[in-house]
Amino acid sequence: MHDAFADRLSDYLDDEDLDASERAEIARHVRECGDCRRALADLREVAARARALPDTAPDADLWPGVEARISADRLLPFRTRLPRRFSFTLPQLVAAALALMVLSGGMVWLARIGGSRADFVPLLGAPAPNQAVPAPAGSIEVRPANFADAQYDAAVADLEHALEAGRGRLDPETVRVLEANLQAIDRAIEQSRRALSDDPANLYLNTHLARYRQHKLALLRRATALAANES
Amino acid sequence: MSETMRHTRSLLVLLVLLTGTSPAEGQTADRRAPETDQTVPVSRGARLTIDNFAGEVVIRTEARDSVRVAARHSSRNRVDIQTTAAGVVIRARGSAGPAAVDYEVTAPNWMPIKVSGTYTFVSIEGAQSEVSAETVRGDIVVKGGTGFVTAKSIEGEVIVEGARGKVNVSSVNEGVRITGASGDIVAETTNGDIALTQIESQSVDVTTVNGDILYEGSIMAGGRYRLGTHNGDVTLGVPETANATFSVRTYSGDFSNNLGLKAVGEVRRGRRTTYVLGSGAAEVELESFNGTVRIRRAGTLPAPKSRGGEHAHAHGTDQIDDHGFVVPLLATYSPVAASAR
Repeated sequence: MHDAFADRLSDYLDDEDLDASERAEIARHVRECGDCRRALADLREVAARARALPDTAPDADLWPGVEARISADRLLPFRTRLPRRFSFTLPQLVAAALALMVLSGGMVWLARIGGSRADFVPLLGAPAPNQAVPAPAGSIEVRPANFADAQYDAAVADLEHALEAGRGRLDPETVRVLEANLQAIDRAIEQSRRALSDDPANLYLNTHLARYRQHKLALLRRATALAANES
Repeated sequence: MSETMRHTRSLLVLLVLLTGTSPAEGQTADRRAPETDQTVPVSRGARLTIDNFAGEVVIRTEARDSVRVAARHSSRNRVDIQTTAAGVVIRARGSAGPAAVDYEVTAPNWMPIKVSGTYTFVSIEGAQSEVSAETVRGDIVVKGGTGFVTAKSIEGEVIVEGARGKVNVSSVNEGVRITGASGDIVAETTNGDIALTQIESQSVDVTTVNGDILYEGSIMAGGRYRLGTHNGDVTLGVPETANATFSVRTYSGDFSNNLGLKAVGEVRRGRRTTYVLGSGAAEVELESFNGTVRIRRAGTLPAPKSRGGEHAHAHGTDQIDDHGFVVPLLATYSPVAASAR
């Protein structure tokens, strides 16, 4: 692995910030360097997986209730704004996708608990048309999709796979330290899960669990990047 | 000789072979003239980038528009100093693999600095611009820095003093210390303590998994402060005149304060408890799953724990602590420092 090229592989893949001569130089190097070729392939795989993440429709459609409330109020028109153009790099998109998975997982977890607990304030609006159990008058039932753990586990598995692939490029001592720290985070996550099983509506425990899941993803991302950059 | 000592010695031998630098060479390194000593002029706006596989990078600054690079290394290694319109890029190449080099660099104080390395100790002092330092195994010490100040190590302690701007500091297996900093602060580690003292900030976000957190500094109206650990204590020093709303959460730990704060509402284990000081204008979240949360009157905090005041050059036998953690006594490889012991 050559740092000078490894640092630019993402730009090469995104077709960003490189002029023609730099692109040609990197392409030539990738043909000749097995490590960089594998790193590029890993990046392509991560990008492909990020693109392939499914769009999951919500089990409950909240729009009718929202629409009813909007139409009941007098709304001021939005001011016309010029269209804005955003662009993101590949790492930013991957990071955003992972963060979104963790965030949505945490929210669904909260929503799922809320559906079975009486101490959450019900959402006001029209009753859902297809609800199985009658909801209290004036409230709607929200049945969250159950994909939180699967999505998180898939993201962790992807990163662990990438890390395993690059393991040989890391100092064994560094690998040992990283693994010990990942296990420590796992222990914290497991403790939080056990506590949550006793007290599932505890907001602190839910946010604590979500935070340390994010912490684990961040460390895995860092370790994977390190493995990709090590020569 | 224990297994881990043999492992350590093997690693040293391997590094010496890889880098082409022997301890004997390092032993005389601080007395002999540097093998590379070059000064290049730079223009305002240029950046300094140093990439060093193993060794020390010590950067000092002065009010002069030039970069001086003094490097001590094996004769089999070569230091490349590239100057472009964008700045100065310093790298070393070895005839038999990655190179180990000890750099002493003097740079203009206005110059943005970026240092990266693997077995590298980094010290940057007096920068008045952006600073970025990243290592795998080695301590980082940054004194100064303005704007984006980033310091990240995996197996090294990270110390930042007097930084101003957006300060982002992290380790994985060691502690983090930030002193006299101002601006937005993010500090993170997994297995280590985090100590923030003499801080002026409206935005502080501190997270560790196995470690204590200490914060002493301003609590500004409208500011947001979040200190969270899983296995460790959280201690916050607050001026009595501060205005803050404290949200305290601990699952199996305790809470104490010496400011006479009374809980607002019911106190339930594992649930958020709110305490208000003054008008409550700042938002402070303090969380520990297994540890104790303490709010203390400013000036009554214990001194932050240090690893002993020595940078992580030490070599020795690795140990496993009570939490099953690797205690890395083999923290970084530096030919000069290793041989000096």
